[in-house]
Amino acid sequence: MLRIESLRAGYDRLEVLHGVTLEVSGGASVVVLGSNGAGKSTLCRTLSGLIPARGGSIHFDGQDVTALTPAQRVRRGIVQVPEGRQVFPEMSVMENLRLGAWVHGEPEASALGEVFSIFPRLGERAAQHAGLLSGGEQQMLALGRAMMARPRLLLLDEPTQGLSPVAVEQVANAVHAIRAHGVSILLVEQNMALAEAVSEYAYVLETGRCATHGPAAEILSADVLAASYLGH
Amino acid sequence: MNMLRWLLPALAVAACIAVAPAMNEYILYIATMAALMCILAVSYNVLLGFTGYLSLAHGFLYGVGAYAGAQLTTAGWSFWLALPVAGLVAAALGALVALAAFRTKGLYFAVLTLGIGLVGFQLFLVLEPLTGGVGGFVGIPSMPSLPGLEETPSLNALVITLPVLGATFYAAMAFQHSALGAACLAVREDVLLAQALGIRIGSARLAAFTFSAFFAGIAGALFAALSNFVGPDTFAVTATGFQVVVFVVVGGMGLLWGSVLGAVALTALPEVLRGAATFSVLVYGALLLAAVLFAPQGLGGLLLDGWRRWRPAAAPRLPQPVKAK
Repeated sequence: MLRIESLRAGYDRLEVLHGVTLEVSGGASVVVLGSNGAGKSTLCRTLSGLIPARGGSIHFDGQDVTALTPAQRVRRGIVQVPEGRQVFPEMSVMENLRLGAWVHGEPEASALGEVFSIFPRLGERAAQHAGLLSGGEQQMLALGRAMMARPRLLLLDEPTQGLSPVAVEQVANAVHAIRAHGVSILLVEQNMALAEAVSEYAYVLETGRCATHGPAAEILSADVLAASYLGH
Repeated sequence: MNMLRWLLPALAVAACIAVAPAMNEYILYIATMAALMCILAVSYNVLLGFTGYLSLAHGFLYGVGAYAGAQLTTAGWSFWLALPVAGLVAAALGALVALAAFRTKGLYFAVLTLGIGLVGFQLFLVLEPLTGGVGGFVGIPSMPSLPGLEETPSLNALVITLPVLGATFYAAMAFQHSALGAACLAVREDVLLAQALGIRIGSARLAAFTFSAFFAGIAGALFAALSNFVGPDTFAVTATGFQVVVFVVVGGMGLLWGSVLGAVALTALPEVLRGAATFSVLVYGALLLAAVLFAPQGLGGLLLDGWRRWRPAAAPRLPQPVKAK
């Protein structure tokens, strides 16, 4: 479904990704692990088109999407949930959700129903200011809003950042529910608990390169990760 | 509530027209100028209030509309045709300005539009065949008389200007509730996040700028017909270019009726304080400071706050202060 080959990207004079190659097959859930500065967020942003690729290619469903704008990628089904504060705090929950469906014009009632069935809490708080939600609820809203765009591949950039263990569990449940709707997941994380709970396959990113990859259970076992996180 | 929101502007326009015949010549002129400034302020609010971009070129676009209207009506065009065409000329130029200005970020946008405002003012001085240069453009035909108002040109001008203000207001409301309007608000709150959602931030900003330029042009053409004379000084950055910023900030950024409030209050103010007109830039500057420091959501925000305290359940939500870009 998604195939990235020797992808290079960066900011100004600084190159962050020095040739990343990875693959996500249809319906799969893949995690990209890596410590701070390994290039995880840069990878996400390059995939969603927020920053341009400097080399290599991104193929989605066999088509080259490397040069497409973020809007075009969203329309094809590549939707990113960016890291950090991910909601429009001054808008209501409903307005946030509507903006998620912006590329399709009016939000589909079925999409909204789906989001509310995955995240009943959002339905209860539809009229509330997004900024007044708890951290976990805001993350749910960010996921729900991404679902409004009818994604086929969801890019999750550290969705558990700053969340309590209970909220992390909620995110994990949400990811399972989203997968049940046939959406593939590319998760970028430092949080082992979430990675372990939702992914089958794992890549380890190290200073802009893929250091290793394999079945998640294997990669997440102690020695491989220790090597990557603590240095060789 | 929603129904009322769409009805109120029409009712307000109708009420103003109903009381207009009771006004004397002087009040009629002030009221017409105030309505004109309201058109300008509402159009500018679509840019500053909805997208958060501070443009100092709005006075220039107002001038473009004024000179375009002056040229066309002097050449024999019907006023009713010249009005929208002057708007289109300003919109076309506005789109060009926007394409250049939105290549910049943050403060540079304001600085670049300041440059355009300054250069535009010089162009009005230099392009004498089109603008009349320093001497100005004289002998612009007045607005055509409506049936029954042939004897009272001042009343006629107000009765023509008010529905145009109403139309501007409705257009701005429609823009706010459109997909582009939603996109503008998203861009104002968080450009990167908006982009990640697939919102085409370029088209949203361009649409807002062009929209506001179109109505600035209309206001300009109305002004030309109202005063029969157009001189470059009116369109300097320190004149109208700065005035609209004050109208919108004092009235409340992002609140359409707030900018009507701001424009009316600040147009009437120099008249009330006779002689203060000389100091109007000073007074405007002081009011701008006061608004930014003590009421970042403007008069409109203060009123909404009061309304909310009085009737917590019924009050609409307050738009938030605009972050500088």
